[in-house]
Amino acid sequence: MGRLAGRRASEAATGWILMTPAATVLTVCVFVPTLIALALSFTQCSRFLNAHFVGFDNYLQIVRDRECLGAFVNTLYYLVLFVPLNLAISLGVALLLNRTFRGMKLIRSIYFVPVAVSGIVAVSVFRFIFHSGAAGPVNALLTSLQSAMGFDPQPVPWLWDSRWAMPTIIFITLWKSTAFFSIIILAALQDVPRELHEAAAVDGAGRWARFAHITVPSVAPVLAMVATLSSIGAFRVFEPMFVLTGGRYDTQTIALKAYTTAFQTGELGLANAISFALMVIILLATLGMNRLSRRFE
Amino acid sequence: MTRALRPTRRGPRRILARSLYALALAGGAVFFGFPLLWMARGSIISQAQWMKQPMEWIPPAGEITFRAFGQLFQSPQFRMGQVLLNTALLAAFTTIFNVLFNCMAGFALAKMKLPGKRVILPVLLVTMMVPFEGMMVSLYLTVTRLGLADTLPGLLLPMSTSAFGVLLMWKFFCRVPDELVEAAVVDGAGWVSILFRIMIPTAAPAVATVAVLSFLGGWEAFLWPMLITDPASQFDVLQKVIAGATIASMSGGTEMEWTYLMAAALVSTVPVLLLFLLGQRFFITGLTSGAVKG
Repeated sequence: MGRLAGRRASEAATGWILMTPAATVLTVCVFVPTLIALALSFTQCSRFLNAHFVGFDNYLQIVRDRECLGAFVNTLYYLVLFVPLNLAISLGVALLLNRTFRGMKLIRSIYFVPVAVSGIVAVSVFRFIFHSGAAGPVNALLTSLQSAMGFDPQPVPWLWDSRWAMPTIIFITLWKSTAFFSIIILAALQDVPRELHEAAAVDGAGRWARFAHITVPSVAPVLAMVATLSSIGAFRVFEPMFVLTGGRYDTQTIALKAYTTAFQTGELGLANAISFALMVIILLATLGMNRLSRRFE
Repeated sequence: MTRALRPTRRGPRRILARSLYALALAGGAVFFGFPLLWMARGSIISQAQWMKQPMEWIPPAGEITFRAFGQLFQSPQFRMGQVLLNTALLAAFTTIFNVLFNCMAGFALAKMKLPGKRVILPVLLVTMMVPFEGMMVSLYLTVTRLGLADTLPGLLLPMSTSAFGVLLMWKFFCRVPDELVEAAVVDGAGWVSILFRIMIPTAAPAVATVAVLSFLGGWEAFLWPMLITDPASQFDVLQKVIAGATIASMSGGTEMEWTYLMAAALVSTVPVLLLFLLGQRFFITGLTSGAVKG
């Protein structure tokens, strides 16, 4: 009995030693920063960390300040376009690739290229593909099309214009995300038992009926997951705006606004209020989407 | 898949359906493949060729030069030798630490009697939901306060473990039969040797997943290195340098050759692409389970 208790104690001690590295990193790099963000969000604080308490002023400023509110509106605009398009295109691509014939493996490899390209590199290449002048292939194609149809050739300033910048950035991020999510949906499609389709076909169900009543319901949980993950990604979007527009042309997002408020204007209180708001939004969105997706399971 | 099911129809309708399918498939291949081709094209043409009007889609063979790949190593902006070494080191350390720390924690949570376990699991789940962009400001303040700004440990610290990785290993280790562990305990094996001799080999696919995800995370890291290292730091990594050059190219002027930028982009992409093609199976299971949470 005594030996057993000693053994238990040493098991617990060893267990905690094994936990220590991960627990330390997560404490220092997640828990502490989260608490600091919450604490500083109620203060006015400069780079020299001379914080003094201001209550909910920073949160009120988010709602009142046009630029802050604009960042939330822009992020929402991005999300509303990005999430449904991402879902539709990813599903479409997965269905396109869900056949087997010789050469399909090679075709799939081409489709999955964007997954191997980092977000920054993607943004960097698309910056040249959407070049506003003649060096850009998109504009080259557009202007030759325009002159072929008898219009004056007019290149579009894709990333240098308030009307076009956000849709262009959405196009760029869709390139990478649809490749990634179609892999996941394709894996789910391949798990749909063939017998289901065969039985339905024998019963006289057409292609559309089988798609609507077999394919969609069997991958619905995965589609719900894709919607959740891409919504979270949309709320967090930072890199393409940071590199391509620096937030100009109505592309300032929540994360970018937190960054510029902290590192350019040096208002750490406000920056942390924006950051904490972002954390809460994502937490709520994740929980909400999870609840919603449980209906499909 | 549906081909065998469809009653064989012949005639124009079938030909039309097949051509539409082929057209869609080709269109998708162009959409997803084109940027890589454009990157490759951009890395082997001169700046003059970049600016040529009207544009030549396929540059004439005489204009092609591979000079940029050598120049990257001398250019003070790219310093490719040092930057590549930094990036490789960051990716290697990120992989090693993640595999090690996540396995240790996942094992303790899955197979050991650990007081406080009931609290830890839900805390990890919530931790996983904290977005990096939401805490980047306060994380920067924390790590700077620890005196680790612009140092290798400061760069590595937040990247060396993820709540997701711990949970993934926990989930896989839970599936290893308890009898295996009990038998080893009876044989007098220590916990550490159980972890390395039994658990890790048994859950090898999960370990590979954590390795793939953390390697990609290290190789493609941008935001954290950009925050915690100084401008033109000795710890600069690839993505930071590429992003910096892209931003410079946006604010006009062609003093920086675009050819270099595309060559650097290719240097970043080709190793991952090779890994991806060689280990497609691992990559896909890794990414797929990477997305399926908890």
